[in-house]
Amino acid sequence: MKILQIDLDQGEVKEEKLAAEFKTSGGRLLTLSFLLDLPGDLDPLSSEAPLIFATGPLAGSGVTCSHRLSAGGKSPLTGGIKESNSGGMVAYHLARLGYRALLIKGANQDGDMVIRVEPEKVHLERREKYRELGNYDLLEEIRKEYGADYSVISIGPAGENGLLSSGIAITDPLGLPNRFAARGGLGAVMGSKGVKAILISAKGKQRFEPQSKGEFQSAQKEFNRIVRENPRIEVLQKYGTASTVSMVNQLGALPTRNFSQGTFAGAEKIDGEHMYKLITQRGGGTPTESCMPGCIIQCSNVFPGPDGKRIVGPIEYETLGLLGSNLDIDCLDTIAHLNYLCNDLGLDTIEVGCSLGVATEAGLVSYGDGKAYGELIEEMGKNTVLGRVLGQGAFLAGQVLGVKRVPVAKRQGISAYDPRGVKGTGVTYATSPMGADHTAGLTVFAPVEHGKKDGQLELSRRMQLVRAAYDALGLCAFLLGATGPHPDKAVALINAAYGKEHGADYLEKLGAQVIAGELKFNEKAGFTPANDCLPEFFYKEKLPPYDLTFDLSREETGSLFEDLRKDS
Amino acid sequence: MKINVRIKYFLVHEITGKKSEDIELEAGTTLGELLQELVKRHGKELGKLMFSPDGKPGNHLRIFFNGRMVDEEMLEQEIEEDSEVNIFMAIIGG
Ligand code: SF4
Repeated sequence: MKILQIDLDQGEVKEEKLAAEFKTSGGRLLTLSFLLDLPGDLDPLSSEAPLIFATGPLAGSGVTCSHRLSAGGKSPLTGGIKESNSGGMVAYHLARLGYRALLIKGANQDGDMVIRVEPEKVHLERREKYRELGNYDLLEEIRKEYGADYSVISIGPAGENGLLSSGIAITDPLGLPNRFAARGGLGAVMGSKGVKAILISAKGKQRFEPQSKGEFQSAQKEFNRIVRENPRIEVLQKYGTASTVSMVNQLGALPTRNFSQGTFAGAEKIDGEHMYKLITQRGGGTPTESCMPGCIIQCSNVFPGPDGKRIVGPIEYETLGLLGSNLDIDCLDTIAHLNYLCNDLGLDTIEVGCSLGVATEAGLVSYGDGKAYGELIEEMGKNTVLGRVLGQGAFLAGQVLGVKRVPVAKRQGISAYDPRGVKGTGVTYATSPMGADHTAGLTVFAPVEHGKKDGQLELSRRMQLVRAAYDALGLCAFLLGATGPHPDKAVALINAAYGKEHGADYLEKLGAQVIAGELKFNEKAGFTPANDCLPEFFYKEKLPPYDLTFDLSREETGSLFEDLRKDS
Repeated sequence: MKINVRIKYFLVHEITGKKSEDIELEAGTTLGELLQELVKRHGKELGKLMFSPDGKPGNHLRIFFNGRMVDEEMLEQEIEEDSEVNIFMAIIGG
């Protein structure tokens, strides 16, 4: 496998052989490896800051859910390390072209670069007419000009304008920009490189050749069996991640009205059952869809409007929480519309939901006013002063608007679990080198009392390590409900594919290696254990209805990764 | 004396055939006894989801009794009139 390196300052393209140490890993660990030696004061939006896309070592194989894509860089939102993880077709196509990673350095000053990766050649082209296009129109234009044989990485106007809430869109199997490496402002990093779109040819012919074909086939069969036979996976398949809403509401942890309440009166109107009912009654959408080749879980959905026409897909739990309950919106059509706007403009629905909650608290808009929220999101796309204030993320919006209740950790908006009600996830928000990230190690599926502090530090640590390992292997985290208790099965796949003899503790070691490296990056960037905490109000304000506070001390969270800090 | 309790099912209704049900119990019935009664009514499949092989509650289901997630110790608690039991499929996260 190779690394494709593109230097936009020099207009140079080169290929390098993948270092031997990354034979059995990739993804989040590989993106990190290109960032570790950079100076601590690196400006994430400067031409020196690289943007990396990496696949895992099983990309291109038929293993279920093995084509996750890691987008990595220095986050302009947090100032720390960022790996933003997405489904979609890009990782599969990169692997078919023989690439484990694509690294972009330098910048095109004109902001209209299209990078086209073909099997024989990489083209660097300028397309002035693509500037400021929303992701959906952009993809339409790309299809017209280049045809449909590409998967595409793209940004909308939000990324072009350097908004810190901007993400990077990745096309799904239908060629639509519906999957997102949403978090941490990586859209702005891509925008700062002047790159509007990266086209990855679907014509690569590289085959995944496991070292031991027979062993790999049986390891794959066993892995798939565990996934297929898990009753929770069936639920995920049918109802998607929206299936999470009701239980989090029961836990009193569903962000409601800018994290001032933990239960939402309209929860049943935005949960998985209701969404399933509307999708199947209306027709024109689907409750069950895959975001990549070979996924047997198929947790995605396409949500249609009352007229049976697709509005957006998928609507995910995090979006339901942040653009739904957090804004007191109990109408799926409204949430779908806001979701569509965010996708089109290239915005992270979590960060936008947090920012709009803050704006509501500041009195700019009233809770439940979907139309006004839509208009504010459009302001972000137009790059007006108000749009910029809100589009720079919840932290900066809170500072400008003078709001005290600002749900962030390391300046990144908190995802749809109030840390007072799901304390393990609160520990993750506080301690992850990524900041408050829903992909850093959720704990809500563990059979523990989520409102009590006992055992939450250990649980969060365990989940962060396993999640980091899955990200480094390019495996989808939704496997974890089924394969989490069987780390040996994932390791068996790697061993058979690459002729290795890793033990079952390989995942734990890999996860620790990832997080230790990320901590090292953050330390250089100026973070200390004192940053591993949550905003004041989570410790002091009691969250109704169970009057919960976040009662893990700053010392406890600050020392969670003490050992890894020493190792790094 | 008899007491009434309402059970609500979330994403489990395909096994139970209903989204909620009201059950009349003898006063003094424990939560553990109620859960066994539910397994009797709805079959082994519910039992497998509800209890892990060592008999602990919460294999693939999360059971909430008056707002608290049920653990092994709570199985001995007596159910009172108007208690609320909500049963969820354990979700994967989002
Ligand atoms: S489980 Fe969902 S997110 Fe994961 S690979 Fe499959 S469709 Fe994509």
